[in-house]
Amino acid sequence: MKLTRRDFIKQSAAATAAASAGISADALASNVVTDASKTQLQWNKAPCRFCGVGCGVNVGVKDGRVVATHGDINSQVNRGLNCVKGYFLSKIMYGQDRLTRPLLRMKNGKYDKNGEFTPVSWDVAFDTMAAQFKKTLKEKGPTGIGMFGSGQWTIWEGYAAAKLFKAGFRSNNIDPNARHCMASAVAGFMRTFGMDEPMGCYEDIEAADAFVLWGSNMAEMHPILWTRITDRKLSHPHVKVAVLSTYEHRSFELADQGMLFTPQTDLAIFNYIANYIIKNNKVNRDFVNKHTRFVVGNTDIGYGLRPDHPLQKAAKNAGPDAGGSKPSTFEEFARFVSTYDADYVSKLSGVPKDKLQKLAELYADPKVKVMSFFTMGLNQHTRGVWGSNMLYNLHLLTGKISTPGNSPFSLTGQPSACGTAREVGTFSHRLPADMMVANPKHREIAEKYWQLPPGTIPEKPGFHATVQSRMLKDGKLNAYWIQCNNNMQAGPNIMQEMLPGYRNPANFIVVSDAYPTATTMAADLILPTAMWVEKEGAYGNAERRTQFWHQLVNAPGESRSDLWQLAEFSKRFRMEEVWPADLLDKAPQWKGKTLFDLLFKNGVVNKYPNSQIEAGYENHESKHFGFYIQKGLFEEYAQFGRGKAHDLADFDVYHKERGLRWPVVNGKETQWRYREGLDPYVKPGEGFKFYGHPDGKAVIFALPYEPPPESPDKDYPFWMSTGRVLEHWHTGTMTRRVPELYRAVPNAVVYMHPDDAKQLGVRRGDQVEVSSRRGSIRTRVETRGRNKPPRGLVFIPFFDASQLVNKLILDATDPISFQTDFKKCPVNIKKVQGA
Amino acid sequence: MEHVITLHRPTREAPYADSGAIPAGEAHIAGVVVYAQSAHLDDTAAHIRLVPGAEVHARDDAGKLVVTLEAGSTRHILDIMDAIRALPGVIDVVLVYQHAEPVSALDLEVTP
Repeated sequence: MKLTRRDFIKQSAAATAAASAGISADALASNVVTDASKTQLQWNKAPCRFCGVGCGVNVGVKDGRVVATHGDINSQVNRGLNCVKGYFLSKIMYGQDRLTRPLLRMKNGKYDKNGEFTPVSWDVAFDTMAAQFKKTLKEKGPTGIGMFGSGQWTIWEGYAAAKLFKAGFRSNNIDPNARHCMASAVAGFMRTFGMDEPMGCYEDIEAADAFVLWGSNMAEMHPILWTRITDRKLSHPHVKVAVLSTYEHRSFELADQGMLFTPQTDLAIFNYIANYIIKNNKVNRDFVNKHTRFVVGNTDIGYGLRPDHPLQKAAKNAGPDAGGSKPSTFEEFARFVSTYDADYVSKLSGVPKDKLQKLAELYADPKVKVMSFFTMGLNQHTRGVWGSNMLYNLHLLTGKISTPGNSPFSLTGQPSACGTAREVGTFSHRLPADMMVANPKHREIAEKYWQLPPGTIPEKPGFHATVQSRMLKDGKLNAYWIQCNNNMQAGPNIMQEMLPGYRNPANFIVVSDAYPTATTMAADLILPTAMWVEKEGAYGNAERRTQFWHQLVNAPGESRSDLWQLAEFSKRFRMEEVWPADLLDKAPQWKGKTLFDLLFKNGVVNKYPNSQIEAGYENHESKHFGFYIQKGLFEEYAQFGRGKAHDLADFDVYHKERGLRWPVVNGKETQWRYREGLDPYVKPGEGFKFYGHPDGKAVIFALPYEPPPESPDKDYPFWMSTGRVLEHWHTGTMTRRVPELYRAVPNAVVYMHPDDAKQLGVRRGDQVEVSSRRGSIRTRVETRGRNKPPRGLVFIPFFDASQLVNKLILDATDPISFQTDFKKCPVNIKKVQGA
Repeated sequence: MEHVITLHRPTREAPYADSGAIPAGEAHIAGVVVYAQSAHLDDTAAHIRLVPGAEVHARDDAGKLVVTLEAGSTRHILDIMDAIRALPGVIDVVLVYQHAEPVSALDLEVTP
């Protein structure tokens, strides 16, 4: 019988599907050997490129091209399954308009801000860029330059970028796009626990009796975890699912308790539940006495707007006191939340009293193990930090934390929001392993590992994302590098606060990306970037799991990874050009050297020869630089966390494992932190220890409901919320390159209630103008979609480059985390006549 | 600011032709698991066998079928999956494996 590759590949496909469904290979109709020589595919593991869940996939390569992928049966995260985003992974790298050469705006053969994009060599690109950075450094010093990075950076890319700016250029003006999505969760963890990231893990799902979603649409955004929740619920009928949102979405289909609340009133609901727990005597007194302390947080903290905005001027604690608090007691806390009774909160939130009580009972009942999930609904919130503090209050009052099934869990939207943006410390105020630039001891530690003379790292936090945009516009930030994000589409108030800064003639804007985007179009120099398995990489997912992959294919044309770009660019700066003489006198070994020598050829990062790269794998950066740069950077970085409860395993281990959850101590990962017997940092007899704070206690915060900066009025009578739809992850830069997905949701629409549409005199498919105080966009009405808003609220996804919905949004932020609120903007809606 | 600022959209933005991603004459193969009520499993398998390019490779009497699909585009594969999902007694169709290559590369003979 004649057999083709097709036959063998089908057998592989069937065998893989059978394995993930728990059907033994013996059951397969024909038992053809499916070895690699027959299918001619090379298989390797990699984490998925898209969301923060961190699913494992197997990637099949033939003739230097990715042709197949499947869910990794050995991954503890997804156990062989794949969601629709993962299905399109192999196509993401092969879009028609992939950028393959550096492009510089030029006129008459030289750089011109108003010129046309012209292909140039890497040398011309970097020389032009270095000249611009040097000019700014000379005129303004380190605060005149900046970088905007990403939770999609690999761990070593983020680390190299943070080090280049904080140690090399001595500028803290580096921030990741995670500021727009995770910053409130980070600040919430830091305030309550003194340490970032969840204490639990995904195995909590199989142990929980109840799931509560606070501003999270997991069914669409984290489908693999949703499948695990569905399995848990269907196989254990006692399990309850509660979903809270400002509009109805697909996660409501599984909900026993679905609740729509008026935007911002989630804060009051948290306090109602705390009050319910106390009034019904369900406080776990022993736990609370031993492991928590109480504080009253500062209130009236403003909205993170420009200081001259009337709302900022009117706020009592706007500015540095926004995050302040005073010690308090349980009794004071009980009094504080006592006003949040069912009558008041039901009226404020619009949630019926019986539903509020059922929800509160899930937390109050000591027999019910509760897992609370939250994502952008709580993070993108002008009181997002408070929100997570108030959610932790509920888990702490009842002692439902750090044990299997009891788990307040922050989900992430990007594949390495945790591993890179947070753990590496690419925020403008942070250093690796939860350390802060403002803390002299922390700077001292970083300066030691980075071989810097004392006083190198500036103590003042740099400009965060929103302030970077304002400073570009105001001409105070003049040389700016964006990697691995599409800020011109994802950021807030684009036309008033962002684009003017990018096109400000005083500024030079560099954007590294694999594809043309709204942001590359606003740039002066575009650098073509290698993505995903075109480079060796590492990501950290939402459950503290660090995962590695090898370079499996070459990037097209002259594309190079962000890491290559950072290191190669650093070669263009002599130390004398970036450090003042008195600082350099304290470290004469760096005299006459370059930033590349300081940062990479420092005896640590260049310690590992290329012979240690696993045989059979390409590594375009290491080949170029002459040493195993990823390993060197990882091992230097890992020093920060080892012995400090952020322990990472040795580099080589991760290429073998399907990821490990830190802290990894004596080769063992940690699933649940802060609990004796589960966390190696908790000593026998301690029970629990929240060792992020020096007293080992978690903090319960008394915080009130405060209104949002703007609410609907007669001019702008609707609430507008923005977000994602499943098929278009992030801003659609990658997924929109896939024709099948483009057809599925070709343009953004405005989802609205049919009665609102009727009142506006519009029908499904009609064109409407949606306007706010900042601008307007045109879009089409959808009354039947998967998202069902209540009357008075509309929802617009943010992926469509032709409808920049974010230009409507006020650049208000949480005053503690500086994260923007994308979820509640008052708008007006009018039918476009004749359209 | 004096001058008017406009955001240029990428000139070659979506929709992209299928042929842009992978050369024309491509073949798509998917490995999926079909979850169906056990009472309907025989009927479900029989229905699936009617679809050109679909093969049933294995079954679990508790209500699972292991199926491969072959078609000329991802779109077509997804359409078939939707059609299977709509069959009476089918609970869900879950995708596990995806593959796309030029037909000519798949037609190459291999000695077992």
